[in-house]
Amino acid sequence: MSSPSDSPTFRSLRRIILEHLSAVLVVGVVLAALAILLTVVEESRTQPSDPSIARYLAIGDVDWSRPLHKELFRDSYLFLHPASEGAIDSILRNIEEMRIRDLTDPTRKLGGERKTLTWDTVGGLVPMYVVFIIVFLSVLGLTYVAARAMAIRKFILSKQGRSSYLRRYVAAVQSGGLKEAVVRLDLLARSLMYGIASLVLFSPAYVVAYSLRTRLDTENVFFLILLAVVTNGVLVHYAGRLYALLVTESRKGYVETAIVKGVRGKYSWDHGEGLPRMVMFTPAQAAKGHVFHEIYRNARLQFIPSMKEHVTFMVTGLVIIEMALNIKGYLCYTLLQHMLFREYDIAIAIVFLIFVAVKVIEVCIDVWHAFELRKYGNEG
Amino acid sequence: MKVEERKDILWTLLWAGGLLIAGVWLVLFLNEPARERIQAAFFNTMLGALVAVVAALLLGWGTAHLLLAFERGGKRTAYMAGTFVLNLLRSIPQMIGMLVGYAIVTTLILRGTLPSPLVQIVFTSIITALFVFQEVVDLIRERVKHYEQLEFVNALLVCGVPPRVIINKEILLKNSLAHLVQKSVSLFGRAIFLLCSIDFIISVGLSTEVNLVNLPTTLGSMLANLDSKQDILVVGSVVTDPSMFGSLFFEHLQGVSVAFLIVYSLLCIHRIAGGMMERYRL
Repeated sequence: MSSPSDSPTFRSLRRIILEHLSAVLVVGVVLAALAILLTVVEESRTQPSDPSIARYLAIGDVDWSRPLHKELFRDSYLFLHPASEGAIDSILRNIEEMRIRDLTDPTRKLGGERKTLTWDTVGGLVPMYVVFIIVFLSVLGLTYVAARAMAIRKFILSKQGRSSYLRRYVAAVQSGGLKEAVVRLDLLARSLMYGIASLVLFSPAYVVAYSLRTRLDTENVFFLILLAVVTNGVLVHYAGRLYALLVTESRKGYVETAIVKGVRGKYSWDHGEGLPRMVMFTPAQAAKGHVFHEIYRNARLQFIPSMKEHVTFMVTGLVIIEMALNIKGYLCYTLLQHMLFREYDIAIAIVFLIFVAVKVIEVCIDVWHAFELRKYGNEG
Repeated sequence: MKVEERKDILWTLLWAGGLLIAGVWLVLFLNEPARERIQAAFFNTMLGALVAVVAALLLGWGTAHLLLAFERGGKRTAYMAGTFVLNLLRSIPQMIGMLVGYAIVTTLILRGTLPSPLVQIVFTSIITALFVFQEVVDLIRERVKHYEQLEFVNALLVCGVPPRVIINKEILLKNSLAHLVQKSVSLFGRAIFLLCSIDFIISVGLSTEVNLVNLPTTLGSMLANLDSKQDILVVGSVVTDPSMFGSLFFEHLQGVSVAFLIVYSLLCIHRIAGGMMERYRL
């Protein structure tokens, strides 16, 4: 008799986990090589300033970040020196490089000297990484619950043949005239609220965060989590995927067969033959005895592996929020600062830590999927 | 066909209409220099997203063909290496990858390798494509696998049609065009989001004093502009002081219109992609 660990699912799972580990190893090696390369390049760049270029930078009243001033310098230089366009381009490029090097010199930042990857700096990153992981897991969990509720609600409403608030308002006005237009204003208000909610759901996080910055403490960790769940289109994409799977599943033959055989198949809310509203939050329990129970179970089985795609997108959302809001003490803001000050070894270490977090979540999703497959007996 | 069944067309018209109204409003109430900056930013963003989609389609098509060739040719090691790299790219959060790409773009601009704004946009878009093209590979492979299970492919092979023609003409062009267009629309929205976000982060996250290189203006960098940020801050004030609502459309037009262009475009593009999915039952 073969042991469970010899089953096709577990063999496939072992292969997948091995692939994830290999990916971590490969990325680790590539990033380590990149860190060494960039550090060497950086050290070679920290040579003393070219005095001939430094004297141009020292000219008073010239703001070298302004294109107009650069063009004025170009004209003045060409007027005074018989130089070619290529030569002046080279001088301007050197000036720009030196200006940037000067502006991004780590001694300009608070805390002084250049940092390198030591045990101390790693120790400093650990609390930030822990917070990042907690936020990430909270966002993942909340998004899953909220997206599931949204997808199920949309699916059931579509089965009920319910049209949008705006369309219902227009229909009411067409049938009842001005009186209905006033009486059913609630539909118009709901439609407006729905429109605003849609805009928020699709807004990049920074648009919403900056809109609320004067009213709320946007550096609060709970606000960060809420923002990551609600904005960037994460929730909509997540819900959209599950909804599409529910629709595809509901078109399959077994659904009709089950209804013909007497399984409940009506989609009206809180009706004996229909579904309770709680189905949005506890679909597995609340839909028992209804054909939706099977539709949901099968759709979820296909949805689980697709969650991996959403994980990277979710991390992208978190990175955007932490970086765009300039929240000091958060991992991604720190990453941006280390990139700015060309402390590439630390920046690359943070990138690697984020990659490892993504991989760990992906492994968990694969394990979850494998167990679900076993539960459903979909093995050979 | 009812409007409900043509949501993609409806949302395309709504998008075009919204942009037109916003354009007319800006002509009437925004000063010319600011308006020109917004126009340039909008054009650059759309161009960048379009190039990213084209690059993603080309990359996806090429990679899918390569993997199919490895699979059919029995080159198991090459096939596994290919899927491994593909999965690896999939696991890299797009924003992290794009930040690394931005560091490369900056270096190239400083060296004078990317002199014109157009080349800079194209290069940034190709980096964006690197982190979204996997979806195209998945779609093409899925479609090919689906048709390979049908008699259709065997029948064509027996008729002497080369496999390359079957994949490109019969499967992709004749039977998967709607899928590819829908995926392109969806990627277009994703590319706009990523391009705006990376530009916003770079412009805000890095000190404004350190304007490292003069990259072409996009809606993201435009929004990060100090004036625009102040305009956006006013949106929050409207919640507690509704009397300021009117000023949004006249006094704070620059930031509000840039935010509107980003959000409204993302919303409409998502609805167009969703509408296509429903209409063609993809």
